[in-house]
Amino acid sequence: MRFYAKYLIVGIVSGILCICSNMIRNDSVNASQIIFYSALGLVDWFPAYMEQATQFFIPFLLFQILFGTYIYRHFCSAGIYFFSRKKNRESWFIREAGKLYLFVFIYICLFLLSGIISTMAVCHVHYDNTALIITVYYLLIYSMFLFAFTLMINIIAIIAGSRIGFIIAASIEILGMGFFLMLGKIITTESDIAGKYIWMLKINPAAHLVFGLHSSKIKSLNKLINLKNINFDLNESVIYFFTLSIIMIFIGIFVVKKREFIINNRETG
Amino acid sequence: MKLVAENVTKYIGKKEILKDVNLTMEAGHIYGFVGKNGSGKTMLFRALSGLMHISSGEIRLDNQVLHKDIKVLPSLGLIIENAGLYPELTGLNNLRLLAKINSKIDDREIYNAIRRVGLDPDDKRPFRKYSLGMKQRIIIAQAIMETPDIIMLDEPTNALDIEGVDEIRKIIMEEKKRGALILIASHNTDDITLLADTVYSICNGLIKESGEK
Repeated sequence: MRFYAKYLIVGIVSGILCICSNMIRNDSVNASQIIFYSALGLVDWFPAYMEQATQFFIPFLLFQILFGTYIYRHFCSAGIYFFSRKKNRESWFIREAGKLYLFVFIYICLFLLSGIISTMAVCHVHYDNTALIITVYYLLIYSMFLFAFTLMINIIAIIAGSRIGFIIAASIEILGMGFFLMLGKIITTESDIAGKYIWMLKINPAAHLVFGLHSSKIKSLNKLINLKNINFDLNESVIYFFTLSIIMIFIGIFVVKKREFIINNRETG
Repeated sequence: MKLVAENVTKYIGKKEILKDVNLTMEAGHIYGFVGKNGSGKTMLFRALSGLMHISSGEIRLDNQVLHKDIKVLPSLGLIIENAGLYPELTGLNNLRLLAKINSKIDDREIYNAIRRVGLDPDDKRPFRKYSLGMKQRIIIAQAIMETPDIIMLDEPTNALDIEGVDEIRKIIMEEKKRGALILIASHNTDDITLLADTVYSICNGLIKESGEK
């Protein structure tokens, strides 16, 4: 774990670069607005928002690159010596997945915290009541998203190698974001996206990350985030990524249990 | 203690890599397996250790069936040809990480195992910077550090100089005296003739007993 802990610094640097650099032009800002902005709050379903979306997506891709082999590394070179001693791979995998979630959570906290603290150094930040609620949603949704996709990379890597693992997971994310950013061009009637085509948002993992599309039963939060007047509750995104995470854990348990050590190291042959 | 393989067959795709293997091996003996590269020596060790499922047959340790009653052999020291350790960790930390899995031994025993194979436990270099001979020695140390009941050594003297080969042969004999069941696979016939009590030859996954001391 100590080896991977140093990578958390990437979260701090990313937070400063992504959040602070975008807030620097304000004289004063609410804490809830900083988090809303960090949660792709102002990204709309048009290609013009690609730059903004990419900027906030990069820290998560970096985490996936760094931690995409966190569990998989045990199946590489030393896997034979590691698993010839392991009596219960399933419980081991659950423990490792738990540690991975801990890293994800700390990374996202550091990203947000460093962004807010550095913003405080350049402009006045007001603490408002909605900040706490939106922070809780941000941490839940983004941590489970990042956890599910990083775990997916590790699992696919166990089956097919780390390159394939990263390509597949990143492709799903990039295609998801790409499709979301094209939505306004494909379906020109905006009310249709919010209405009969809302399933296109609800099945797309990238759309679940865009807080500006969401709604909430909490009035103050709804006022901040519900820019499009869409019925897409933040709780749905929490459930979406929670379900995805649980599915990944079960797939992982199955894969780890069935994995045979016929070749020494998939990375080197 | 008895390790028995009964009618063990393994297919990978359509290729039969182990053909109806029958072996009975007992503690305090060294069993040698000779055969060309690709003959099935390593695959036999992977199957016997539980790292690979078999297509048919049964592997038993005393009365416990592998993959049914036990998932891996409970006290096994293993070397598989060309399998390395964690590249970014030092030799000592690699062994610590592996020893932590079953928590049978402490740091003192890990230090002893590293010294026993002729290395310095306080060497701060990561495994990836070790020479081939040093890598082989530290891998042997991980196999013997927990004083396992069964030791499987696939090409144990690979990459070692003459002095190193002698040292490792001495360690293998000491482990035999301790009462361990030892399996050695090698294409170096000297290793096998000098060390093994019973010799098997493997060709295309088929095993034949070719001699006993």
